[in-house]
Amino acid sequence: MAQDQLYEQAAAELGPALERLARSYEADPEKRRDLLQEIHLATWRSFAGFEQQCSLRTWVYRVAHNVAASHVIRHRRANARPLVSLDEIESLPDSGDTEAEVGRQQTVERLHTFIQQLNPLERQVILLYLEGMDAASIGEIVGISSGNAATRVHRIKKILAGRFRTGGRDGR
Amino acid sequence: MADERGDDVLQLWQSQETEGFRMTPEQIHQRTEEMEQKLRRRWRSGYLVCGSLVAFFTLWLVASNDPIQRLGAVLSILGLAYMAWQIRQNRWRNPPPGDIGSTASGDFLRTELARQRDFHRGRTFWTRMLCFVPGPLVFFLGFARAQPHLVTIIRLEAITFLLLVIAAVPLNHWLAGKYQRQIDQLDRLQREP
Repeated sequence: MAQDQLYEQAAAELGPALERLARSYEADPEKRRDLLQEIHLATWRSFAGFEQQCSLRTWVYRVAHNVAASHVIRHRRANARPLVSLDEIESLPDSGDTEAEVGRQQTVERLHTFIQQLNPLERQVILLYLEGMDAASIGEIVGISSGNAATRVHRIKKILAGRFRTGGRDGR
Repeated sequence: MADERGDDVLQLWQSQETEGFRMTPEQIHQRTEEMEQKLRRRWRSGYLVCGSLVAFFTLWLVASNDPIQRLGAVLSILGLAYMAWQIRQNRWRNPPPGDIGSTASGDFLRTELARQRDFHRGRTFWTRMLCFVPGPLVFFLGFARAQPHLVTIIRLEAITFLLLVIAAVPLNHWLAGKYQRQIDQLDRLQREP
């Protein structure tokens, strides 16, 4: 399949997921827009070397996370707050009121802030989990064993359940 | 209970409003061109600084009669050229387009971090220092020999240069350590759950 067609397919199927990913990697709206463009551009370019070694979804997520991780390395200030692991974040005080019924938008904002504090690898795992991927696929994209991915997903579920209330399925 | 809440968060996450961003082939080509222009501009500024220093030392190479000062000028030009080449090698890398999609993101991240770390330590760092530092020092020595009435100013300049060089060692060591800690953390995360 031609590069343009593959890109069209990827943008149609995974475009929204890529936007969410860019939002979790970059808080500044202008830089986020640049990052999103960079991800799309890298995805299009990468299809020149795509030989169906893996699914389109795995390929695109790898490209996106690789571009985003490079972005973090390039733009992270030397004096910025250190990124933490899931273990460490569990012991940090939660900035929000977990008992209160907060609005959907507020919860999403808190979720993005929460993810932005995580180290790149665990950030990748949580983002892939939130996109509905199973442990085996997460392991394939990130480059860890599926057992390792499953353990991290389990921890993530626990932390998310403890910290985030969505106000019911409808968000009301 | 926890699973249900987790599912709620999952649903909430996926139902976020998005812009439906995508690029047309024209936009892709335009953006590629813009990025290349930006990169060229950045390199032009770097070359301008480097070129000005090379021009400065070339001028002294021609104008000076002192052989030590001329040797210092030649060494400085060579040192600058090597440093510019090394920075270019580190920053301007074009891997094959397929690499970014075929490499697992943890491994990709590790390679990036290791590249940054190696720029600030070991052979890459010390060859950069060894190639760049002697030139200006020899130049200052020759300058002081040729212009004895300016010796106080030259000494001050040489000391400032040396202090900057000395400060560069712990600074680069600190940066390399920072990247190494991230690599260690990544290795730990990849190894054990």
